[in-house]
Amino acid sequence: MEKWMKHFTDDIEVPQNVLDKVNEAFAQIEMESGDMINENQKNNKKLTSFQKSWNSMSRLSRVAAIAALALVLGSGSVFAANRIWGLKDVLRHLPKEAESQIVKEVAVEDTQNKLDEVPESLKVSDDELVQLEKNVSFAVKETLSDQNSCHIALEATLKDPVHYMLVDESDVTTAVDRTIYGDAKEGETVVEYAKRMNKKMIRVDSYFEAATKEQEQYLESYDVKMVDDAHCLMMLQITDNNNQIAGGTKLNIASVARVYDKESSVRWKVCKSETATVTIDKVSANEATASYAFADGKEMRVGDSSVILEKIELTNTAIETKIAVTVRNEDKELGNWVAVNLIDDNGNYYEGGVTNTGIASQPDAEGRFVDYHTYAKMELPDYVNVRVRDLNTDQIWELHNIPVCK
Amino acid sequence: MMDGNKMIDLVKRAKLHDHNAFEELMQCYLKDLYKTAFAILMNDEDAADAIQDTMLNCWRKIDTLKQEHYFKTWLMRILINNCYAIRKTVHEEVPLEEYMEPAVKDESTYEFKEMLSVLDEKYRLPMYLFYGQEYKITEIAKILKIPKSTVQTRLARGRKQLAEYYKSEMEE
Repeated sequence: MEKWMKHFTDDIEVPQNVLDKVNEAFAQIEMESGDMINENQKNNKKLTSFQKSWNSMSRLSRVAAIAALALVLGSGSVFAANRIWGLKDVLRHLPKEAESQIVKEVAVEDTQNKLDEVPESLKVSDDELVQLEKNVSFAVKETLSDQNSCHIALEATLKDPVHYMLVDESDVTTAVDRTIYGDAKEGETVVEYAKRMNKKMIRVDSYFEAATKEQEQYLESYDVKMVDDAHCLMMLQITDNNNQIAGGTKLNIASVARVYDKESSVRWKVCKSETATVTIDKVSANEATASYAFADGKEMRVGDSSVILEKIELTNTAIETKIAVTVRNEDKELGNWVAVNLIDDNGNYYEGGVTNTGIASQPDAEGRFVDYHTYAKMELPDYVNVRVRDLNTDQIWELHNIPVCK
Repeated sequence: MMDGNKMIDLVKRAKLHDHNAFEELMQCYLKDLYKTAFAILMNDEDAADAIQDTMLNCWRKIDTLKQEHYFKTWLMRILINNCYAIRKTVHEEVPLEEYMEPAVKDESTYEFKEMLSVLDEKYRLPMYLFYGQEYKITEIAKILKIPKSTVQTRLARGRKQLAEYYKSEMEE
């Protein structure tokens, strides 16, 4: 098993379009530095011969050199300073029986595209596409404005679950989640399940479309949660680092359903696409929010640190529990390099929710920012314990028994 | 791999607006940046944009970094934030062929991309940071702002997913 992990460290070729963008960035940086030739710095340089010549070349020459090198070296890596243990090295050093296994792995490209195995019966005809448009419906389940972010949950529903099934963004050739597809067999893939049940696959997706210049600056995160093979929740979190997203804000949310189509270049052909203008509610009908603070108004300073928790709010959405902690860090240097998590009475973290990572807004002039984390849905507790981590030093502080505000 | 002292020296010089030092740093970390961006975005175009944004952000903000030895972690965190920002605003459908067929002749690149394509999104990044970048679990928790236990869980599930994939391939 571990030998496959080596692919993560294999020396790889950085594609030309990335190198082009990097050179554009370097040109911009050079321009911004306003210091084309800094004699003092130049005297202190200890560069390798490659780096010396590289840095002395004009941008155009660099691009040309990269192109020429790429031509000469073929599959070689342009920036390869140190050759890391790669696949060919593995092949050279492993015993014959292991080698045959690896060769098989290298040769999997012919059998990789398992979707080719999707039978004709599961492919959607053009006539059917019209029907499918009526078969999938999207509904906004909740909207929630919270400081400078808002949360939108949409539900996709399939009207004919006998002949069709919803799938999420995951690879459909991986093992099926049996909590979603109840009739699935152990180890069966989504495609295999669809084939056995003779159901055509419909993939749904949703995203935010900026309607104004300001909205183009919004950050968006997305997650999808299958409820069953006919219902799917799509969750969007949209954040404005500069301003609060006020209740009443209108956002355009696009929802798309795609069906598998082997002939299409993207394999998934759109069968339904619609854009809804969603008005963000300050308070969602499905939500409950609780604020936590010491009853005597005592400052929630975290231990002897420079971190003060100004506001702690837990919000239950239809799907999850979200904690939003407004933090003021008197140490501006530390900035938002802290993470605030909920812990139980024994000091254990709560299990993470659907969001992949914690998100923190940029600190304002006073070092104030909001740290967001999501958890699997829980009942809003009477008190919370929080753990604050300095992400630079790993130092940990805890605040216990912060009661809910009545 | 860059020597720690050299890295600190370059960061200090970059903070004094020595663009050559900054470029040297970026060249050194370019492959790490690319692999990380690809692990999130799974396409080269968006990865290129994320890397470009990250380099410009870092150059403009580098004087706010007081502890030079955290440079790489700081760089990675900015990259990851940029990747998440790009991921949905661009929102292009990625053809499955792009995952499954080698876009380049380089075998290692193909193997790397194939490996990532096997993993669900939420496992890809922790798996790559752990096995590809050799970050410790605590460091990954720091970069992703998630608890260590969550990192451990995602690594375990990612390993399981890979094992199942390779097992099925061996059987074919």
